[in-house]
Amino acid sequence: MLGKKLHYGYVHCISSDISNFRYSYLWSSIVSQKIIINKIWISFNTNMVQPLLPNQPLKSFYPWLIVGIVAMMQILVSTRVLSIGVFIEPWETQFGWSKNDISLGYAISLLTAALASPFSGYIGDRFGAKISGFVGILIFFVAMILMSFITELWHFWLIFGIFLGIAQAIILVPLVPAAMTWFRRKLDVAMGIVFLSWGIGPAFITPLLVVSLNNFGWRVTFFLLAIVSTLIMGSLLILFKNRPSDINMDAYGTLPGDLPIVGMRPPAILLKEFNHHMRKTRAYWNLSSIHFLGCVGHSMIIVWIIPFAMDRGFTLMEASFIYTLMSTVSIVTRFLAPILCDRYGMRGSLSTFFILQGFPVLVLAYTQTSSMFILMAIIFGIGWGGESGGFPIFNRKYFGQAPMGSPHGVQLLGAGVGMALGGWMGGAIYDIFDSYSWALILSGVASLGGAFSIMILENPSKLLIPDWIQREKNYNELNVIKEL
Amino acid sequence: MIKSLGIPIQFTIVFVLAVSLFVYLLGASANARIEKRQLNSTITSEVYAWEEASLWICPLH
Repeated sequence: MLGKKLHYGYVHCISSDISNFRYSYLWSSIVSQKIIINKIWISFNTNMVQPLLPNQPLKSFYPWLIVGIVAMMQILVSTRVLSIGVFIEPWETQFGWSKNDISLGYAISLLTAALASPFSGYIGDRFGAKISGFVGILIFFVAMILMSFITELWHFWLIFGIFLGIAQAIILVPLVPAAMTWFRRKLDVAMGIVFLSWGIGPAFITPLLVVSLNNFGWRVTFFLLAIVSTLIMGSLLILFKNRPSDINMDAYGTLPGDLPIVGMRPPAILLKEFNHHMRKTRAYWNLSSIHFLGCVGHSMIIVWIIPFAMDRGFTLMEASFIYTLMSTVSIVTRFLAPILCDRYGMRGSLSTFFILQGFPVLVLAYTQTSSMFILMAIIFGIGWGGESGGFPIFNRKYFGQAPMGSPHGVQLLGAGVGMALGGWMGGAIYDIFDSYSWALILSGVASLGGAFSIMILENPSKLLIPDWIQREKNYNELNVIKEL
Repeated sequence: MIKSLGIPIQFTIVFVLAVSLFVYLLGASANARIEKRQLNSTITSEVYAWEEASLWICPLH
């Protein structure tokens, strides 16, 4: 795009300056200028992808700044969903809504975000995470302001469930694939930091929300959350760059022998071709169903563990402590999972996390002792934290440097539907059997089914689709030759 | 690679099982709620629209 603008703009200037010359001279001049400009364009591309120079210490920090921005954005956007619990009591008191009414809004929000994920992934690939992020922030801001004025239950379902679900998908889905393009190596550590933010965000922001709620009420809290979150996210997005070439550098960890990445916005035709290649692989579909099984497995537990623990004789305080313990343990494995997957084999590591998530739940269904209950909850926390961390690493191994919006979006579709379905199933099973045992068995079976599905995935030692870097390079060279 | 309608069989199995389980649990849950209400009240209790729809969707309830 930039090349074309430069190209035609330059030729236009030349032709207007020399309009009095003979046509033959004009023609030969234009042709020679075209060749010069194309050489400049090729040289520009080549320079753009040179390995990072040693005198650029600030730039070498930029990939980690991008990771920090993505982590912060995840915290700010996901807080309103993960901290919904603090708003339940004020809404029950003021409007008389039931817990089921409020949890339905939560489920609608998860489902909307899940259904919007594949579309958001495509938008991110096509137009960049920065543009989609600004569009998402605009929707987020308007919806959060409107949340502070709601008076009816359908207002809550529409604004919290639909609008904020869409905003969440548009902001968050393109961010992880964009962050991945910044890393050729050390992607495992980068993704570990990104997934860590999911765990630590609610831990820090929820207490702040409670303070605001106690001092100003829920309406002002939503209003403040809208303004503060939008200001922070807007500022972060200004610093955000879609890809390393935007600041004339190469991806982190690029070595002299690596084939340089062209690093332009992906052309629509190439994007379509590669999405087609990806959809033809088993991994594209199966990773989505695996994420679904994993999320069914843990959502049933994280939603129902407190009532289940109380059913087994624990007090509310003890049950809350068990939940906190599980969450705290999961924070550690959120960070470690991508690293372990990258270094010790992806299928083995990820399926181990799935087994650690599923096996203790099956034991929980039958255990009666408090100590065993707590031990199983800790083991479950290890598995739960590690469940989602391996997916970006799988994407990189299977699809290389190709734009990841589409597979990432489809995987998040599976995850979101799994979260909503698992959470709902726990309640439905209790309605039927007056017991959580079958919910626990179903949760364990889902996780173990996911572990089995991972083991029969394709071997991740080679790409499943053509190499994006090579194809993009050929495409650009072909275009330059065509223009000549 | 085994595929059905261009989609891997592994994905199809998970999808079909999840939908079947969802429909079954929806019907069973609606049935259980209606029965509980009937047991707890002497007069005919109201059946909600979602419960009627769930029972209609599920072939086993």
